[in-house]
Amino acid sequence: MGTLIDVRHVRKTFGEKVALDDVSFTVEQGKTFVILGSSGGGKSTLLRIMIGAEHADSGEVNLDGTDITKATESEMAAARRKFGVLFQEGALLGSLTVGENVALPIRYHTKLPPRTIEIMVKMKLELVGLREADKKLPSQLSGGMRKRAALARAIALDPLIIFYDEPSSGLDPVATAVISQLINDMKTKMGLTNVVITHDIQSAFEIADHVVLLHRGKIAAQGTVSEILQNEDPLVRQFITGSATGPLEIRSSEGDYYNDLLNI
Amino acid sequence: MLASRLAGLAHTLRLFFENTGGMYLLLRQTLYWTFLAPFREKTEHRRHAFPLMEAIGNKSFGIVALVAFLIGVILVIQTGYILERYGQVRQVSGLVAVTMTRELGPLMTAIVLVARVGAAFTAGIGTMQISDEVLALRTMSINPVGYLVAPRMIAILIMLPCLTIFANIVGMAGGCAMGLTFGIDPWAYIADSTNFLQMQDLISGVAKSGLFAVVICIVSCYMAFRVEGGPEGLARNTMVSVVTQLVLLIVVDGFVAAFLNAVL
Repeated sequence: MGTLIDVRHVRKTFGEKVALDDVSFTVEQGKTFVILGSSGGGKSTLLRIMIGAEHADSGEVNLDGTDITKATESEMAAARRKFGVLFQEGALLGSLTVGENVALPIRYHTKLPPRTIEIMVKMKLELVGLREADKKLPSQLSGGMRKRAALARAIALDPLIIFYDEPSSGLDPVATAVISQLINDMKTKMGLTNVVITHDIQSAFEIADHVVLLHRGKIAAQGTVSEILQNEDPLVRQFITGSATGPLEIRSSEGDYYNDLLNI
Repeated sequence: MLASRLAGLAHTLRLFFENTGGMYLLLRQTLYWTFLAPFREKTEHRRHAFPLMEAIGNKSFGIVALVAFLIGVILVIQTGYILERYGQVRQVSGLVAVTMTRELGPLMTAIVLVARVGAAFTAGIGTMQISDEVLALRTMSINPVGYLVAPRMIAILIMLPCLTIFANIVGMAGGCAMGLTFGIDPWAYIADSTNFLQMQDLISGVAKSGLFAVVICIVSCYMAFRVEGGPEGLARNTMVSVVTQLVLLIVVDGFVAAFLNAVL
C-alpha cells in the first residue's frame, strides 16, 4: 500500500484572505483520510484543489502520479477517471432519474451495451441500498438517499479514490450512521481510498484512519484518531470537545465596541 | 471623485472585455461540440436535443402564432388608413409581407424565444451551477459545454428558423384577416403578397433567425455558467442575460440589415 495522494506546500489566497497556507500531507492507498476543520477553515477550498476544480497559487497535488496543479486537460481527464466525488448536496442531475444518473458516467466512458449498463447500475445501487429507487427523480428522495445515490454514481466507474464533501451535513443521526457505514464499506469491501471533508467529529472518528485538522488554512494537527484524541493542544482539545470558549474564537468583531455605538 | 469615476469606468471596461472574451470562447467550444465532436468523441446530442426541440419549438408555437397574428393585424391597422387616403390600400399586403419576412417575423419570434427559452436556459443551467451539478459533470470528465450547451444550440438552431417561417405565414394571415375590414379580397391579398415577396426577403429573414438563435443560446448559457452567490446571483444573471440578449438581437439585426442591403 503506497501513497496515492501527495499534497505539498499548497497555498491559496482569495484577494487578501489566505485560504490555505503551506498545507502538506499524504494519503495512503486503501485508508480513510479525514480533513477536519471549522467552517471557513479552508477544507472545501482544499477539496476543490484536490479534484482540480480550483487552482492553487503554489504547491503540488500529486494524485497517483499526476500533478493536478499542472495537468493538461487530457491528463486531467485521465486523472478524473481515478476518483469519484460525493458532493455536499449530492449534485445529482435533477432532470435524470437515479438510475440514469448512475448510468451517465458509464454510458459516456464505456462502449458497453445498454443491458450491461443497466445491470451495472442495479449493482451499484444495491451497494448503497437503493436498488428500488432507480426510477425515482432526485427531488423525490430524502437527503440521505440523495447522498447514497450520489455515492453510487461516484463509484460507477470503479475509481481508486472517493472524495466526500461534508457527507453527514444536513442528515439525521441514523442517516449519518448509514453514510459512515457506507464509507467504511467502500474501504473494507471495495478497497477504495476515502478522503472525507467534514466538521462532524463523531462520524470522523468512526471512519478515520488518519486525521488532519485545518485551522485558518493551516494544519493545526494531524495523526491517527488516537493521536488526535491524546493531543493536548488547546485548539485541538476545543475542537474535539466542541467547547464555545478557547483559541477557536467564533466572534470576529474587532475595534472599540463603545466607540462603534457612539458613532452611530 | 475623478479617480473613483475612472476606477468605475476601468471596472466596466474590464467586465465588458472579460464577458466578450468569455462569450467568444464559449461560442468556439460550442461550435466544436455541436459540429465536430460528434465525429470525434462520444456525445449524446440526439438523446438531449429532441426533448429540447419540443420544449423550444412545439411549446412556443401558440405564443409565436398569437404574437405574429397580432403584428400582422396591427401593421394593417396602422398603415391601412394612410394608404386608403391615396387609394392604395391594396398595397398593404406587400407591406405586411415584406415587413414580416425581412424584419418583424425573425425579430419578434426571437424576442419571444428570449423570454421563453433564453431565460429558461440561464435559470436551468444556472441552478445546476449553484448546486454543483456542472462541477459534478466536470469531475465525471463530461464536458459541460458538450453535455448542456451543444444540444441546446442544435435545438434552437433548428427550431427558431422554423418558428420564424411559421410566424411569417401567420403574420400575413393576420394582415389578410384585417384587410377584410378595408374591403380587400383575401385572394387578391394573397396574390399581391406573393407578387411582392422576393426570395431574398425570405432568405435574409431565415438567415437572421439563425444568427439570433446563436445569440440567444450563447448569451443565456454563458450567463448561466457565470452564476455565483446562490439564488440572488441566479436572479441577477437571469435578468442580465435577458437584457443582454435583447440588446444584442437589435445590434445583430442592424448589422445584418446593413450587410444584406449592401450585398443583395
